[in-house]
Amino acid sequence: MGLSTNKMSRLWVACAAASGSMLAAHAVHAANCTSLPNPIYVTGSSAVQPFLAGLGTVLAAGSNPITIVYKKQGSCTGGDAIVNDTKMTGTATYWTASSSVSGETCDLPTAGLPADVGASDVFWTSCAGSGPLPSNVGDFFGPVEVMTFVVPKASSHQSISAEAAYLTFGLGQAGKTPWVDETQLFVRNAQSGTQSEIGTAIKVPPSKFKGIDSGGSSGVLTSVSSATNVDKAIGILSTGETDDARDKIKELAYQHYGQSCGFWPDSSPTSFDKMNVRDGHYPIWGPLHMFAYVDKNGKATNSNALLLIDYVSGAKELQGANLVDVTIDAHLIPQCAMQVTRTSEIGALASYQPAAPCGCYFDKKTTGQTSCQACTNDSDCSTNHCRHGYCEAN
Amino acid sequence: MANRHFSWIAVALFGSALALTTACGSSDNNPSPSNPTGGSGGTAGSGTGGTGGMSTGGTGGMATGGTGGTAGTGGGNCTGTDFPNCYSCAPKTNDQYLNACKSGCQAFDNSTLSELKNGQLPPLP
Repeated sequence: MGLSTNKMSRLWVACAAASGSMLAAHAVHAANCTSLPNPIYVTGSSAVQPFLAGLGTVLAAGSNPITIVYKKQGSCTGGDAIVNDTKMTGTATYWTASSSVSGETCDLPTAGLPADVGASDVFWTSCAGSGPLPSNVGDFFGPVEVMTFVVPKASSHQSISAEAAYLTFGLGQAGKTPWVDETQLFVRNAQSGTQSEIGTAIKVPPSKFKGIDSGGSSGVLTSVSSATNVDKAIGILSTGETDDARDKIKELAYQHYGQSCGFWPDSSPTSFDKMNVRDGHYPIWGPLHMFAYVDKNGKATNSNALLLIDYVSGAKELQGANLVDVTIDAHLIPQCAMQVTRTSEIGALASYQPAAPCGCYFDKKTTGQTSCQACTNDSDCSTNHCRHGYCEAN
Repeated sequence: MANRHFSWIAVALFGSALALTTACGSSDNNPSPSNPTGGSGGTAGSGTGGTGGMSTGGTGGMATGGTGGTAGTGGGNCTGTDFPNCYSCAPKTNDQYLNACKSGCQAFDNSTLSELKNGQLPPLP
């Protein structure tokens, strides 16, 4: 409008040049996912990225390198990739031995390719319109993921009850809680495992959450941490994100229906021991679910899926790394450190005694101390079980 | 004769009371936690097998719908002091795990929620 023809021409040239440069850069830097060493294709949960990053860098460093190729979408998309054979398309993330958590980018084939494993934070039946899990699909459990309510670091709020969360996220402004501004409720969407699990806990279906879809867990983190009205802002995140961002946000203690007091996932807002999850005081958690095709005996039929499941379960040892360390570093809880278990989404808690416990090591690693006796072999322990350097009960 | 009759009745009544106490008190072997200041849908208190709610004097308790009732003190000697009505025995049920005595908690005051009417959650829009 206000530009001369000459200026317009120069603008077009500049734009064309910039576009060309961007395309060229993309062509240079984005690898072809299928050309990476021994790719295992995983899609689904965004909360699982820190764990897959840790695992991916270790596997890439092995003598026979394996590459985890991961498409971050949402938990229910992960289940859908296996149950409905929905192909992975577009760009994906992978890790080399030296990658950071954010990883590298590769291009998937235009026609797409099938996922080996669908990763999810929730049971398949928690996904809207899912129906039962087909008999040819298995649900393999991984480490425990923990979901939290988060507020800006400077917020005066310390806790939230299930009732308050129901009113906040289920009714929004009409709920008349301390968080009445719906533009300051930073949520996800119905495909999100974080939202499904929290929704199950507080009795608000994931599709009915009030607030702003922040487009992913990193979006929630950014929105909550940068909120200017600190006492009105609240979001939902897994500890995989919150534990590394405690300088910007803080978790709220959560008081479940029927619970007389609220608890943080950890012993305190400043610790990382996940003690209240492990002993049953903090209820919003569930195992990482890995969906894969199985035979009639429940064994994964896809060799890549079987390999990944074996690494995650500990059935197959990692070269040069300890799975428990990888899990702890991703702010998840290995099953071997849990004292309670459950069999359904936010289902009833029950006592759990792992076959090969690692609670002593978990305590030492996350708090710097443990009351357990140090050991180098089984004979050092009265229980005859030396695990990860400490005497365990069994 | 009347006295003897009376004695038999007294013995029978005492025996019945004892039996009743024992039977009802069985849940007190594993008493439930205490108070759900917000258990949903009345799950807080059937008192069977000590799975929830109270069992005061072996009579069992009942949360009355909505967001949960005012169950009692958990029966027996399993009420601790770390927070109101915490459960001090070894937890076995969901409510007992949630309410197992432990320091370092931060309660949320549900009485500040004006839309929680008589403990009932309003329906979602």
